[in-house]
Amino acid sequence: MAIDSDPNSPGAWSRVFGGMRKFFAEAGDISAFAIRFFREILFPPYEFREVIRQSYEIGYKSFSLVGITAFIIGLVLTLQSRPTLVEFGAEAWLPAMVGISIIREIGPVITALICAGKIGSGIGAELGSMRVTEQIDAMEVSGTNPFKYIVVSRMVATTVMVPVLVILGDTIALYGSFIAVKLKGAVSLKLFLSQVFESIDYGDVIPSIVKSVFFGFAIGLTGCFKGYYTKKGTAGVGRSANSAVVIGSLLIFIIDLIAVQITQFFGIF
Amino acid sequence: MAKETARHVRLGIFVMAGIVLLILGLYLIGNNKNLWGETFRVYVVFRNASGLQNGNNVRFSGINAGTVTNIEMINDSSIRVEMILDMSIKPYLRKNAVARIGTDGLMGNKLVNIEPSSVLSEVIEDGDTLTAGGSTDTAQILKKLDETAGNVNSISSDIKTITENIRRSKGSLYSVLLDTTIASRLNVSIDNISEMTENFRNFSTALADMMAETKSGKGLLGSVTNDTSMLYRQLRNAVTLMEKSGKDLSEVTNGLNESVKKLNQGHGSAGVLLNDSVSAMELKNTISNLDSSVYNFNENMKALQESWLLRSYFRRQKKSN
Repeated sequence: MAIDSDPNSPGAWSRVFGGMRKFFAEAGDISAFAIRFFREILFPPYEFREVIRQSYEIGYKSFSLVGITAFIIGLVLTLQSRPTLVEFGAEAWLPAMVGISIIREIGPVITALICAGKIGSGIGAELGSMRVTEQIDAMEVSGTNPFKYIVVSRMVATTVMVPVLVILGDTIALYGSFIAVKLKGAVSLKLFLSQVFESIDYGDVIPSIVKSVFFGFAIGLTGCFKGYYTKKGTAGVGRSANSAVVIGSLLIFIIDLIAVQITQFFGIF
Repeated sequence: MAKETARHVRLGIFVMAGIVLLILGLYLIGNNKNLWGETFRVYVVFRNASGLQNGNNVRFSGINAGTVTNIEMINDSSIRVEMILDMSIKPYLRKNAVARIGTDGLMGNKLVNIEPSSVLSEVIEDGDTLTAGGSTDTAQILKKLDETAGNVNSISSDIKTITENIRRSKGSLYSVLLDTTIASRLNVSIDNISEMTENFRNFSTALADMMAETKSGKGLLGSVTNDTSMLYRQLRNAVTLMEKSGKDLSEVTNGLNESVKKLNQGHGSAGVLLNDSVSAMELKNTISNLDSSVYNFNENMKALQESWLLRSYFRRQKKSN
């Protein structure tokens, strides 16, 4: 946001305060949206079929993208790290180092960012289209709870599917790392896995999975919120999709930061 | 409907794959931490934990055998470390084994190394306490390395000074090390040594031939050394003669000794003369008197020769002589 050259002018301050008010108002709206989600999920009717359908659309159909990205990340990370370790004569540490990096941080964050890009924008655009074409309004008129049917099912699907994608992505990234190690030296898969699992602990895996649950929830929340409250016609659909990706990505990094602080506070790492 | 079922199946496989991989990963981690197999507990009390943490590996003779499960301070100078070890190593782990805190590689995690003792002892029981050995701390190694590097630096500085002094002084050591003419002289010397060695080799060969001839009885030396009967007889005669001469010499020496003894004791005229001062003085006086008597006698004789009574006699005597 550009501020006037004279910072003391009432217009500049009003715009700053206006922006802050807008930010806090949106944060409050998102919080209220999240609270409504928890309220709706506890009580029937439960839309299992829709949840399964969304899980398939969100999880299964994102697997190829996540898998390819994870494989490349594992491969490249290993190839880039290797020369430095070779300089120190610590080439044998490569599987352990890459394993910890992938499982603790890179796997969950990269997978979540991909999901934020693909799923978040998809949900934002889909729900935005439904809003501008008044499909949501029609559902309310017909007596169906659109929030339960549209929002809860999608948020549950993202919350469940992102951790699954993270686990599969981590596995594929480790395989990519193994391929990179194998390209440069004779290391068996058994030795590679032995070195990886010797270096990682429950304190690495469990926080990573828990973190990815929150990532999934954040992606679903931002996508659904932005799409559900889309305004200003078809142009608003694009803005909703874009905002869903931007805010979702930002939330992923904020959650990651909080997760690191919590795990360090409890001495898990 | 069939399409939806296929979707459900694919989704089910997808989710199950994720869950199975997660469970497999957790199982492998637990397996590395000895959480699933049969284990037993042992303790060791260290003075210093050296940064050991819960979950660090325990190695028995270099094999991963367990993990550290608890570290607690029992007093101001004792830290008790609890370890769970795989049951498979229990028959080989003795009560007198020594546990040390080490590092995995130079920069790796801390671990506990259990080393078996060379002396046979009872097999360890669950809950036993092992003996703690000194830790091999990387910081200490680096400190010693730093001291060694300092010493090497000092030595190299000294060597540099010595080298500079040698170069500056151009003394004998400089000549040996840097003068090229020395090298050519050395070559000549080596050639001479080589020639000398060749000569010495020839000499040795000749000597060996000569010795062979001597052994076989050829030549003068051979006949001398080999004709043992003649040589023995001659040697025996020579020895007998030497023995006899020695005996005679001994007798002469004994006689001389006795004579000298007698002389010293004052026996005999010579002894009296040598040892009795009174007699010597008397003898001296006698000789003096005798001398004066002879003088007087000569004077008397001269007078007699000049006397008219005997003058003719002495003239006749002179003529006859």
